[in-house]
Amino acid sequence: MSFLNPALLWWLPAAAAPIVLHLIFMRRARRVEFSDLSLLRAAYARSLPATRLRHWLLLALRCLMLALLILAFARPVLHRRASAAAGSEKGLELIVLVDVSWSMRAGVRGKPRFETARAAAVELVGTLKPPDRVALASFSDRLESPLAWSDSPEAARASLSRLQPGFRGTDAGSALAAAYALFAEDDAKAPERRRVIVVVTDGARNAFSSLSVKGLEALPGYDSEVTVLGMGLEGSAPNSAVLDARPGAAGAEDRVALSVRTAAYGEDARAGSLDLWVRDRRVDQRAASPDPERPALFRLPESRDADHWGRFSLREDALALDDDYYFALRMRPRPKVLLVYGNSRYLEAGRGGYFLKKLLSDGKRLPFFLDAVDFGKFARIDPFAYGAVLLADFESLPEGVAETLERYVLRGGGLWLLAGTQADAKTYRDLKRVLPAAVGDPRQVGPRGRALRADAVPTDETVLPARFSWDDFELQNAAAERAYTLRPRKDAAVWFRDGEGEPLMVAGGFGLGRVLVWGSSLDIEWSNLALKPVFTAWTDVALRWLSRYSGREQWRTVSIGEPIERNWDGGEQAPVKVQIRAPGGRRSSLLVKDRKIVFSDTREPGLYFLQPVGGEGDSPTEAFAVNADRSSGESDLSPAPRMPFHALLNAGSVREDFLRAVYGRETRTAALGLVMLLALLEAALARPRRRGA
Amino acid sequence: MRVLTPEVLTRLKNFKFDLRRHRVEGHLTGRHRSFKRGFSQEFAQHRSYVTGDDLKHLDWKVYARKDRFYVKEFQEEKSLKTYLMLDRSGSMGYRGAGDESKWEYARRLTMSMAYLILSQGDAAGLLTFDTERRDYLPPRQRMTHLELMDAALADSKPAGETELAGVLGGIVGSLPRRSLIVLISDLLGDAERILETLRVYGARRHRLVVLQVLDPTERDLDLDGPVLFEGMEGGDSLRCEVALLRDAYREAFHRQQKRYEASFHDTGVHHAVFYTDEPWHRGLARFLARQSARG
Repeated sequence: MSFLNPALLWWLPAAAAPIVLHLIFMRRARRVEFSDLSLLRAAYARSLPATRLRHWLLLALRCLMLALLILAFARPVLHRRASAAAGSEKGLELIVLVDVSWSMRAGVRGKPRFETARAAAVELVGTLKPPDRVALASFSDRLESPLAWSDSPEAARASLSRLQPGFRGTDAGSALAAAYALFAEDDAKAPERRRVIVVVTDGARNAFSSLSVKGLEALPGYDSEVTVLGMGLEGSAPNSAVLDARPGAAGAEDRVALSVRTAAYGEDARAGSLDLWVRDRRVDQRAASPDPERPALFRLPESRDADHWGRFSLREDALALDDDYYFALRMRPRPKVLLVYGNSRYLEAGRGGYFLKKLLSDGKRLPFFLDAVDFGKFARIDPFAYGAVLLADFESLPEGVAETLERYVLRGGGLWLLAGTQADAKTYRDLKRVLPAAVGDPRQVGPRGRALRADAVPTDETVLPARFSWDDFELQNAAAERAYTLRPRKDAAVWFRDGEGEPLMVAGGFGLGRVLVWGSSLDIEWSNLALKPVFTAWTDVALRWLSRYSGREQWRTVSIGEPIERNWDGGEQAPVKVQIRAPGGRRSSLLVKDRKIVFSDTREPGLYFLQPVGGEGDSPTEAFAVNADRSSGESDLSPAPRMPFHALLNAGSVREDFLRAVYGRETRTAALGLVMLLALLEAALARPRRRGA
Repeated sequence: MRVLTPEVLTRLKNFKFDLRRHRVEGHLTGRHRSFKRGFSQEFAQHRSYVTGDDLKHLDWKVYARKDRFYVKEFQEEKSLKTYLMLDRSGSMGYRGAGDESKWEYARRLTMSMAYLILSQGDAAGLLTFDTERRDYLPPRQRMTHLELMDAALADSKPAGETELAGVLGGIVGSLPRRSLIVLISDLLGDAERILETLRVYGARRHRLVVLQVLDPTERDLDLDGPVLFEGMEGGDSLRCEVALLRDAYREAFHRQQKRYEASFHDTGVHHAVFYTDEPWHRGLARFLARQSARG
């Protein structure tokens, strides 16, 4: 037998209180004058044996009752026979898995959940005695630290003191699987030791997502001999959270709009008011909706700056981490594209240049601005100021143009070759290294092969809008009667083919840039593509891909752990290096390589500021936002309806619950029952007796 | 009067102590029948005239009819001598759960009985005792005798040990035969010796009335906790847990009372128990009513 609350055993001497009280009261008996003592003496002498027997029996009963009561509150635990032998001699192997997901940062009744959990885990480790062993690990949605046996409980306690809650979600499954694996490794060495896993978690709803269906049995390496105990924390704190913010529809005003989703979890949870902070100024406030399906729309104030950053903020509640959602975005200028043509009549009606100019000149139908020049003016133009260069309808390239374009593409520019009616196989000789396909002689396309067919067009959302279908634009109605023979390079992608399967549009890369080749002409003599509705989408896809333009707002918000990437487009001046300032004040410097930096140390939420260093002129500071991943469901602090453990430990009585769960059956109820029985017996004995009438 | 206060006297106005059947011996003419033939209005018998009889007692009407001399005899009526014997031992000073001490209760009871006896023309005397006879006032028929008795009782206090059997045994020889003895005591002590002594009173043709005055605590022993009992008449003290002793004590008490009742019933002794938690006049009224019914 052992006791879950052995400190109370010090009270056992108090069981002798009835005897002590009896002696005290006998010594302090009050004096009473009585008329005649002869009857009293007679009664005393007559009842002496029985009275004394009853008297001592009562005293013994009362002492026994008190002793049993103290024992009951000390919570005796009866050991099971087999386990008692094994447990006492072979020891215990305990693996403590501590939840460090970000829901553990929540404070319940003013005390952080993690501190409560840590204290409970320390107390748990304190129950161990030689030859018991302990292994400690922390977990979130993965095992955060390697699981290995500690040298001693003291070392485990020291490890516990160093743990801090992180920013990831929760899934106890992987940690449990690792614990089973550690036991499996150790199986041959100590086959008879009692094995226990204790998962110290807040017991939030999402912690057991991988165990919800089949429970522990579904875990790899599941061992039915291992006792798995869970320590859930009490209390279900109502919590509200900002789930995310995304660019919304701008509407008539040309201001950036952000759509913000908020949610409230738990009973009596209210989302409260939602504040919009832009930079360091609160600019708007709305009532937050507890329903994520009803987002709130905020419009950012007008600003000359291209960069916008700030946060959406709710009133601080149980979990402060999800009350702020940081955002950062950059308003990109619409890219300019340069059309260079070799035919002076290229801009006339019916020619390809005419249709392109019509489509791109006003910037309303497609987000590009078109500058059209002939080769005579090309020498005076800096191609690096353009997101893409369209090279159209020429017989031969003037001297130096090919080199300029090659350098332009090599450094990240986009080149689109639009074949003209006057070209032949020698026309593109100078651009042979840049082009993704070799352009041959023109050919006549047969009647069955005239319809266009999409092949390997990129489906990236930055290029194609969601749920886009070429069929909606009746691509098959577009046809090319004449086309050049294209022989794609091995690494090139054929975007469009004709009805006979011959390549009509081929895409490929060169250096940092991108190159497209249209194997026909846009003149109506060769193709009716420019007359069809699909022409707009076709042009849009091509220009977005070439210029890497994914929209006006460049969303610069990532989750914790995801890298911050910054690419300088062809039209931008890339710095030599950048300095990054993290929310905690940490500063890091990164060299710009290939017009790109990747910063991976996004370990905490907040705004990360990027300051270009060594570029031409003063580059403005840019901001990137990092947020805890809301999709992990950590904001919902309501407890899981069912935890897949063999027993649950209460944080307030973790030691007692642990000993009871591991070592045996608590007999407090039986002890209390015995006390009740003795109380009845005592009442019966103490009851005045009536003899005769 | 300090004991027989006006209030007590008012209560006693409606009470009557009826002992007409009791035959008495004595010299004072009274309302009780004597064993002697004498002069009174109540005819007893006729008997033949013998020489020496007073001629005035001859019944001339019988002589006229029978031609023989018969003397007419009448029942002689004598006054009753009553001795109120009050126990003033230390135990009578006990006051437990009752409204007053046994002594105060018994003193008032004694004076009430004296008043009732004197008010119907009988002689009443007072005798108090503990281990020996203390105050003694011989029986007188005068109502003024009440004042002497009241003064004697008002000034005396219960004290000392008691030896009821011994004292009563010593007194009985000095009392005239066929007296009415009213014993007011708690009868605590050796019951067998007390009863044996009282039987002597019966043998001497005394009519004995025993008024036993007790405190309810003496019956119930309704005390709590450990108690060191000290006797009011001296002796060793007794330390005990009352709760454990209570049952046995009650049993012993009831057994003793049964013994008294049975013995008094057999010997024709009038016995009444008064508890001090009951108003004295109520207990007295009950006793007198029973007495009247019994004759």
